[in-house]
This record gives sequence, structure tokens and C-alpha cells, in this order.
Amino acid sequence: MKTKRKEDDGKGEKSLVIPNPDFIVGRIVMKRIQSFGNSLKIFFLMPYDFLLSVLKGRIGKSLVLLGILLFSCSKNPVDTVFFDFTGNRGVYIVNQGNFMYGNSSLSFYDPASKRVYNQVFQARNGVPLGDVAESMTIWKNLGFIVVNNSGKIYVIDSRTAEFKGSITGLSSPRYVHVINPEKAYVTDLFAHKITIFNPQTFQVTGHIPVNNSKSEFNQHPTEQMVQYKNQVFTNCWSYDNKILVIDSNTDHLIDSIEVFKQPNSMVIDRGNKIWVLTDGGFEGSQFGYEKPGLLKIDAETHEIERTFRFELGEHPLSLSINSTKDTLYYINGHVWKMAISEKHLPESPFIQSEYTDSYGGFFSLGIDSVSSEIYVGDAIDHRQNGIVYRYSLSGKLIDQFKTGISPGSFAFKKE
Amino acid sequence: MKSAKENHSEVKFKVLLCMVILFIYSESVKSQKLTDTIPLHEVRVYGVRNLAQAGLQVNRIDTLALQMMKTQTISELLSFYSPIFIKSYGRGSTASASFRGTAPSHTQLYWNGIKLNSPMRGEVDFSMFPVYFIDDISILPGGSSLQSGSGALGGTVLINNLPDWNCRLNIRYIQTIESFSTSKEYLNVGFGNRKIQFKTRLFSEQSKNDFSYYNYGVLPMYETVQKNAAFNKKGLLQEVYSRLKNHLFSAKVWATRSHRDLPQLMSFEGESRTETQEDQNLRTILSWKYLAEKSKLEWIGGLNFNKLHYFRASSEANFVNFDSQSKESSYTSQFSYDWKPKEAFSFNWALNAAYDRVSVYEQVQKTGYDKDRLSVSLLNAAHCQPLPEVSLSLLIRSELYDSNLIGFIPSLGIEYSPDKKQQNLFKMNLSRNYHQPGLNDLYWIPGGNPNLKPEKGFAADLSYGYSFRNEKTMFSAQATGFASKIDDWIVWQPSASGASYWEASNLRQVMVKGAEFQVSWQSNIANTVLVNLRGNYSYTATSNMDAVPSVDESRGKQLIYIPKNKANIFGEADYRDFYLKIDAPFTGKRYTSSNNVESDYEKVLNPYWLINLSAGKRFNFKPVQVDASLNVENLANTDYMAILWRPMPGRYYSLTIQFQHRR
Repeated sequence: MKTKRKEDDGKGEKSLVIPNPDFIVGRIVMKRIQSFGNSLKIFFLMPYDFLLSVLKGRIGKSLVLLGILLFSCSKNPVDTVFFDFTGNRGVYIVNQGNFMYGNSSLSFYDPASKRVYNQVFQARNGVPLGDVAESMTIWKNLGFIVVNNSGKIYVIDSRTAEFKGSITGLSSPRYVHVINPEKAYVTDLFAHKITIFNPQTFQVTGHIPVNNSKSEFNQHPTEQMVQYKNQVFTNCWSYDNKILVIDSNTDHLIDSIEVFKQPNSMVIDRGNKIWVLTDGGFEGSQFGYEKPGLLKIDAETHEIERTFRFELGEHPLSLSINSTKDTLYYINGHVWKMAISEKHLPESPFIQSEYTDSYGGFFSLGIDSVSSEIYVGDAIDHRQNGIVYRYSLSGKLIDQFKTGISPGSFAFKKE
Repeated sequence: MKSAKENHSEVKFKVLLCMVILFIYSESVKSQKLTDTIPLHEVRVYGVRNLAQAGLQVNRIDTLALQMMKTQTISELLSFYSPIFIKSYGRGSTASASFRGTAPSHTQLYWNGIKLNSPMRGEVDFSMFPVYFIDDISILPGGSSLQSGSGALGGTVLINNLPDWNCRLNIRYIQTIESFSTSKEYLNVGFGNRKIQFKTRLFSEQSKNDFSYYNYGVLPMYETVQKNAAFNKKGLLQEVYSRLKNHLFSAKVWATRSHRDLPQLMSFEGESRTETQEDQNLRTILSWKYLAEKSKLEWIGGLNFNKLHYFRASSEANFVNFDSQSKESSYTSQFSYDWKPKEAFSFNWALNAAYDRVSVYEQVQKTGYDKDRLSVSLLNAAHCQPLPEVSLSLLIRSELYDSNLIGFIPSLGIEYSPDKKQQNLFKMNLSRNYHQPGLNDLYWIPGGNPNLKPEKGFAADLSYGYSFRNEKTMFSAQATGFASKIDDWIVWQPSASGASYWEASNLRQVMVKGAEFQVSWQSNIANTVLVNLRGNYSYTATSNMDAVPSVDESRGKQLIYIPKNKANIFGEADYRDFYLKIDAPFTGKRYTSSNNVESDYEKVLNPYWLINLSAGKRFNFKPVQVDASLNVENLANTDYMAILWRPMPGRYYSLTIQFQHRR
């Protein structure tokens, strides 16, 4: 793993158990501190000198000082940081940031060296990622980062984090699913349609309307996607209770499956069963409020084969599956684990959260698609850099590291 | 709706017209005989003893500032002339106030005695109040704010309208033309006699607000203009005053309407959106005052109706994402009785009852609530001057809201002036205060928490003031140190239960420490040049002391968006009928994450100075007085961010011309 700067290489950075999240930009910080010192002088002393000279009637000096005051403020360009993750397995962590703050970010973690690289998008490309980054999909050497409230997808080279292009003009994009080298789908919360684009040219090539003319609510807000043969399943979460089925050959909606209220996440197992986690809405919602649930749906027949219910007031989320596609994981306060053959929900948690207080706790979950190691994001108060915990298959803590604000989703780089 | 081209040519024409007028006037004035007398501006000096205010900190912004800022809003006035930090989203956009490091809901605004804070959100959008509509503004920090009401853990801003009993006829018209297709018009007509006075004020303000900026928030970066930031605001204020022997009656009606397009962040590249906020307010006050030799009885009745409509849709497909209407109605009735049995004693009792009703409904998701609240507040206040050097004040409030009783809300003030001229003045205040949660905090769906407790604050401040005055020079300086501790501070946080929405809870304990310095100097140099220099600086350290999980690094760190350092320098020079003004506000570094990380790229908002310059001339063109000025805002063309990833305009200009006729 190499990180390079323009003027010299970034040696001297140590790999720690909890690495300093900001070490990549350490040098820039030093520069900033120095330049901040200078600007402090300008900010505080210059006006004072200026006023003093005015008071003393030294017109010449005042003019010079006024000139410096007026034109001394200049932009402070930040150096580009070059990354090379070629050949490294690892995980990109998409940090949502805060709504309307534009402070989402991308982190990369190398499990072999236990090093984390924060703010990689901005460090490499010199611009922020945008407002509320929702998800990232890696396909070949490209990473599609969906920046929800910026209405765009930024495409990077997953080896270097270098910007390769963007798909813009979207309404409220959520997830990307690549069908083939010519076709990828983007789901959307508000657009009433799925956008089709070419994952090589990044051109939008069409739309699949998913408008529900019968609905009183803002349906269908499409979310995650899983594929079985030529059928793409997508869950409609917010104020909805449907799984839509799209034929990826014809790009037409072919079926819809009614599930419990508010399906928030979805996976497909090795027996081609689709597992759907529902959160049941919230108290006071006109759409309804019910016990959260878990459903098992046959991908071929679209039949619901089994259902499970949680208690009212619980908030299960982030349904995930291991690399062998036979064990489900989800967050419900703690991390829970369940074999796909189970007939009941698990009775005790797999990884116990230490949180008992009124905020914080496990926020996101990702299972390494090769090693099946478990990554759990903790957003703390959602206003500071969050923490990601990495656990072994047996649930033992291997590492923990700081990322960006609200680490919300994971994208695993296999090679 | 006019086309952009028409608008542009209209603005051009107005600029041209004003320039021609200016030129003609300045030519005609050259030949006039110049006089040597320069009137001193009226400046109310700190330290003038008024028993009803003894032991209280009351900082009045002088009328010169009001005159100078006549075409601005109160948010800008406070930002320039007080230590209050204004968090503004940009020109014409929402601006909330943070007073001594507290939350926006801890700053209260009273208009002629009635509270204007939104009962729903608890805060005030100070950008909705034009300076032109007020005659008097003062600031009561910390415990002194209990004089007007409880709940201002930061402080209170009082805005008042005053009758001018000497006015027979006063007509004033102001026209401002500003960059970015902005125009502002103000009209004031007042007439009457010594028994009855009528005053009508109108204003209208519109802007396309399409300033250019360099967008370094997207790839590729490019030079662009701000989109969807247009605004227009209109307002009417009608006042009637009459006096009959010892009785004084007044009626005031204030109506405003504003329409604002809400711009996106610099990083936005999505499908074009229509996102708007529409505000309508109607406020009415009736008051009756009876003045006797040693006492005063007053009744105020107020109505305050607000409507806010927030709308967001995709422009092309016209799919509505949000369509939220909220209505607030508040009714206030207040009796107060002042009694001054002796020269050195004064007592004040006030009983206030307020009823607020809020209904919020979002049509797309069909969520909302309809709730009300009744609150009653009783003030017992005593002011005395036991020794010529010492004044004391004790305020005790008791408050009942819904079924919650807070029986004892005290504030104690002491004032000490060792010399007779009151050149040196020490003040101290200790207080306990409570702030009721806003109705959104209690009832918002989802996440509102009906079990919220009121926020509790302890506050103390100590100040030293020095003032000096002779025939030619006035000087005053004041230094204040303050500290406060607020428990059960309400925050919206994601809950540990993993719910997809955030919840309100009494989470934090916040500690605030800081200091404020103000200096003012005015002098008449060689009877020809009047110089006025003023500066203020404030230091505010405000931090969360109660970070719960062990990994939470926010403990002891500065709260987000509140600068530790804030300053302002103002200078004015008047020579004959010419004047030159310079105003330089400084905003210190601000953090945008609760653990105050600094190393990440744009997470810290860098400090910035802005410099605003104004030059003008007064003309006496009998019977009309004309005042024309040219202003340059952000003279140094500073590139800054007041809020993360929201562009701000560089250097821009405005031309203001005022016509006044007065008898």
C-alpha cells in the first residue's frame, strides 16, 4: 500500500491499533496551522495597526496597511494526495455526513495492514464528496458512490480513488446495481422511476417508471436491489410495503410482492430465497405502525415462504449475508446472527452492544464478501467522526478505527 | 412576472436616474454657503441611571446605528453592533441568533412587550425584521432578560416603536438599488399633533440574488451564478398613538409576507428542484397606559399569527417531495404595575398570560400535529438605591405552563459606582432561568418527546464600564465576563434504539464562559470633522460537558457553528455634509463537528473579516432633505463560507437615496 504526495512521499506515518483518522492530511494540517498563525496576525494586528496609523494621521502608512488588509486574503490550495490500493483487498466505508452539511466522505480500510485512509475522495480529487453519501457499489475497477442529496453518482477508480466521471441530474438516488457492462440501475426515493445508465460511459440510457398511481403516499421509493436470473428485486421502504420485480432484459416492471410495512433491507441466500427485513414504520405515521418483521420469499415463485416478527418498538436494520450465503446478520440494538434454515428469530445477540444510553450505538453493518468478517459502524452522536468495529467470524473484536461522520455503508474491494 | 431582461433594464434605469439626481444636487450645493456647525449624533451613553433599570444590564444600540442600517434587517444590525452571533444562510435567508454561546431558541425577541419567538420551533428568524420598522432596540443579556420574560437563557432582544409627539408631518422615502437585481423601497408617513399620532411604514424588497461564485464543491470546478436564491419581502406597520391626560393608548398592526427560494449546496448536481419557503405574519398590539405621579399601570394585548409553507418538488416531473404547512396563533395579555413610593425605591409587578396554538401538517407523508399551550407568568421586581453609589435589583418570576409549575425563577443585580459622575460603574448579576421546550420538541412526528423537561440555566455576569464626556469628546468602554451552566439542554439525536428518525431528549449539560468588550469614542476634531470609532469583541467558550458514551469525543469541545471569537470595528467620519463609514465584522473559526476535528478538508469554517464601506452626502434641498450614499459590501472580495458549502457573494454594491420632508 502506498500513499504519495506531490513533493515527497508520506513516510513516517505509523500504523496504530486505532490509527489517527487524520494522518493522511497531517502535513496539510501543519501547513494550515502555520498559515492560520499568519492569518491570525493579519486578522488581529493589521486592523489595529491600521486604526493606529489613522489615528496618528499617517495617511501613507494607513493606505498601505489598508491595501494589505484588503488583498491579503487568498485561497489556500491543498495538495493532492495520491493513493494506490492496487492488489489490496479492503473495504470502502461510505460516511453519510449530515443532511444539508455537504460533509459526507469516503474512507478506505486495509484489513491486512489495519490501516485506514480517511477522506480519500477529497484528498485525491480536491472536492468534497457531497451531501449525504448513501451507498457504494464496486464493479470491476470502478466504484459508484451514490450521493443522495447531491442528486448524483460519483464514479471513482477503486484502486486509486481517482474521479472518473459522474452521473448527474438525479432526484434522490439510493443504490446502484450493475446488470451487465452496458446496463446499470439506480434506485430513487422520490423520482418514481429507476434510472438506467451505462456503467462504462456513465450515460443515462433510459428509465423504468415505478409510479404507483393508486397510492396516497409518495410511492414507490425504491431502495436496495438483488438479482436472481433476469429478475431484479427492489424494496420500497419509506411509507411503502412492496418488493418490485423488474425484468432486466426488457427493463419492465413485471411483478410486485406485498410484504410488511417499510421493508428497509434485503439479501438473497444460496437457495435463491430473498430475505426482507421490515421496520414497521413509526408511531403516529398515517401509513401505519406495526411490529417489525423478517420475510423469506422464493425468488422463482415470488411466494412468501416464512415470516418472523419482532416486538413493537424494536428497530431492526441492515440485513446482511455472509460470503457463503447461508447466514443472515442484522442490527437490532446489538448484532444478531441467524442461519437461513432457522425457524425462529435468534434469542440472544451475536455481538453485544455496550450502549444502554439514549443515543449512539450500532448504526450500520457490512459482511466482508470474501472473509465474512463483520464490520459494524457506530455513528456516536452523528456529529463527529464515527467508529468502525471489525469482528472475526466468531464475533471477536479484531480492530476498531475512526472514519468520517455517520459511517453508513460498506463496499468490499475483492482484489 | 417580468422577464429578466426587463428587470435588468429597469434596474439600470434606476441607477442612472439616481446618478443624475446626485450629480445635479452636488452641483447645486457647491454654490451654497457652508456652515461650520456639525451636529453631534445622539448617542445614549452607558451608565445613565434609571432606577427601573438599576442593577440590570441593558445595552441599547444607538439611533445612529439604526439610521445607518435602515435598509438592512435586524439580523445584520445585531451581527454588527452586538456580541450576538448570527448564523445566517446568506443574503435574504434565515438568520438565527446565538447569544453568549447558547442555542437560537435561547434568544428571545419582544416587540413592544409581546414575544415573537415561534412557539413551534422556539426560535426567531431575525432576517424577517427590517430595521426600518423599529425605533428602539436594546439587548438584555443573561439574567437581566427576566425583566421581560423567562426562558431567555442567552438573552433577550427588545424592539420597540415610539411615538414622536412633536411630529406634524413626516414623509420619508428610501430607494436602494443593489447588485444581483436587488431593489428595496421604504416609505414612512407620519402625521398628527401632540394628542394623536399616526404612523404608517411600508417596505418592499426583492432580489434575484444571482451572484457569481467559483464552485469548488463539484468536479469539474467552474465559475457559476447562484441559482434558486431569489427572495421578495413586503411589510406594513401601522401605528396609532393617542394621549388623554394621564392615559396613553396605542394600537399597532404589523403584517409581513415573504417568499424565498431555497438554494442547494455547492455540491448539488441533481435534478432541478423547486424548493421554497413562504412566511406570512400578522401581529397586533393594543396597549393602554395610565401614568400617575408615583405609579404606572399598563395593559398590553397582543395577537401573533404566523403561517409557514415549505414546499419541495422536482421541477420537471412535478413530483412533490414535501408540502408542509404550519400555522401558529398566539394570544398574549399582560398587566403591569410600577410603583415608585420613594426616590430610591421602585417596584414592578407583571402578570402575563399567553396561549399558543400550533398546527403542522405535511401533506405528502400525512404527518403533523395540532397542539396548544397555556402559560402564565408572574413577575415581582424590586429596584432600590440604598446608597448613592449602590443600586440593587431583585426579580422573581413564577411560571405555570400547561400543568407544570416553576415557582422560583430569580435574578439578582447589583450596581456600584464609586464616583458621582458615574464614570466608573460595576455591575453584577446572578440568575436562575428555565426554558420550556418548543412544541416541535414535544410533539413532532416522529421523534418529538412529550416527556421533555424544561432546560435549566444558572448564569452570572460581572461588568465594568467607564465613560467620559466633555464638550468635544465622548468615550465609553465596557468589559463583561460571564458564565453559565445549562442542564437538560434539548438536542435531537438518533436514538440508541436504531430508529431511522431522530428523537428529542434532555441530553446535554452545557457550560458557557466568555467575555465581551465594547469601546466607543466620538470626537469633534477642530470643529470640522466628527469622528466616531467603535469596536466590540467577544470570546465565547461553550461546550458539552455530558458526553455519554465513552467513545464520544465531544466532551469539553466547542459547540458547532458557534465562534469563540467575534469582533466588529466601525468607524465613521463626517465632514460638513459628507460622510464616510467603514464597518468590519470578524467571525472567528467555527467547527462543524462536535469533536472539533480540524484536519479534515473543509470541516472547519475558517475565520473571516468582511469590510463594508459607505460614502454619502446629505443635501438640504428645502423643503426636502436628501441623503444619498454608495455602499460597497465585502470590499476585499473575501471568499468565505458562513455555513458549510453555501456560497457567499464577493464584492457588491448598493446605492441608497433617501428623501425626507418633515414639519
